[in-house]
Amino acid sequence: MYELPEPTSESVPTQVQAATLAVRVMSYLAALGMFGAFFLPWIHLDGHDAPHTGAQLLTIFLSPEFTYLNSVNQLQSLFLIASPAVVFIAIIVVAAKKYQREVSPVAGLIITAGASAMNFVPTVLVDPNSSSFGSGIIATVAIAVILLAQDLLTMVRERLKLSDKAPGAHHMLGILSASGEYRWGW
Amino acid sequence: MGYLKLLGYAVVLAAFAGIGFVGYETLEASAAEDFDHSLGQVVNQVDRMESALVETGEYVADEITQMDVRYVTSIDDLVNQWKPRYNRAVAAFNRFAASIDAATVLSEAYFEAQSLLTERYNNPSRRAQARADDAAEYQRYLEWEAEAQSKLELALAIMLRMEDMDIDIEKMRLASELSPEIAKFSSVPDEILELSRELARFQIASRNIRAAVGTAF
Repeated sequence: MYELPEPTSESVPTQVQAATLAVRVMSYLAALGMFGAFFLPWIHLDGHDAPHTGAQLLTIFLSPEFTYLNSVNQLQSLFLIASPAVVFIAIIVVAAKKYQREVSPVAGLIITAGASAMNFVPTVLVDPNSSSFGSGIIATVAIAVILLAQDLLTMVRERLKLSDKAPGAHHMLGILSASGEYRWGW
Repeated sequence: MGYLKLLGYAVVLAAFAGIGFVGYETLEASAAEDFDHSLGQVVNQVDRMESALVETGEYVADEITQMDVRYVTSIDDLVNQWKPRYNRAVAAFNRFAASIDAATVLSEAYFEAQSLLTERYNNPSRRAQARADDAAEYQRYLEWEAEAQSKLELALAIMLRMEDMDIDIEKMRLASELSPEIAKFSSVPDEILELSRELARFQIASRNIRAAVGTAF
């Protein structure tokens, strides 16, 4: 994993420091928000009145219906439980990394790819009349993409070393990526 | 910032607890609920299969038979329209067959649970009446299952014919790749008309399936 150097707050305006801290707190809360998205609709399985949430998909193997899904299409039914499980683990990694102020682009990519693939892989198991994207998947992917973009900005910021050449751009990237310097704890 | 760390732990724990609760609810569903859902699934899959077959049949009836095949120069158009419909019909058939299998398996758990409850009656006459009711319900279920199985066999026959038609179309495409001249469909009209007649039968057959299986026993 890519680790950030210890930040220092010398010569950084207080407003920039405050904005950086605010963005960092929001990023962390957004990462935690992805856990909440597991309790929103993900996909609408055929033969059900309501869409399944991510949590229901994680536990669907406990239901007798899993036997039915398995006999319709084994690969797709395995994907149906494996993908939310992998996404869930990746969210734990991202949230922990956000707390520790480290970047985790691979975990972000796994969340984005895993959640998005739910709309395209289990094609024969979903209700053909339902809209493809559940609100839980939309929320998860949207947050993951934003956090992934932050990680990429962090890496760009460290690579470019703009602090002397273009301090304004350096500060702006520091705020957006939440990797800028501030004097307060955490 | 210890509060944020605590918040993180709390959220992760709450997520695990929530998932655990959902899993518990899934496990706690009664045999009757599972069986009822599986019966609903059979009815639903009959609907899906009917619409998939009708869609394919209507396409053949409305589009292919109206086509002036003398002016059709590429079989790719036919394949591009046919394949998605055929694949949907195959998927619908697989789901229909799997839903009947699932209902059969879950019926055992339901009738077993029912029998265990019946045997717990203390009043002998009440127990005897309950046994008779259970046997009558089981008999109705067996009739329903036999009907569903016979319709599954009919559906299988339909799907096998459809598979043969799919092979016909694949062969036509193969022939057109061998020689562009064959792509003028010199031999196609008869086959397409046959396809149309077959799929017209599918529509009638699928409606029969819906009528027979569409009501729970």
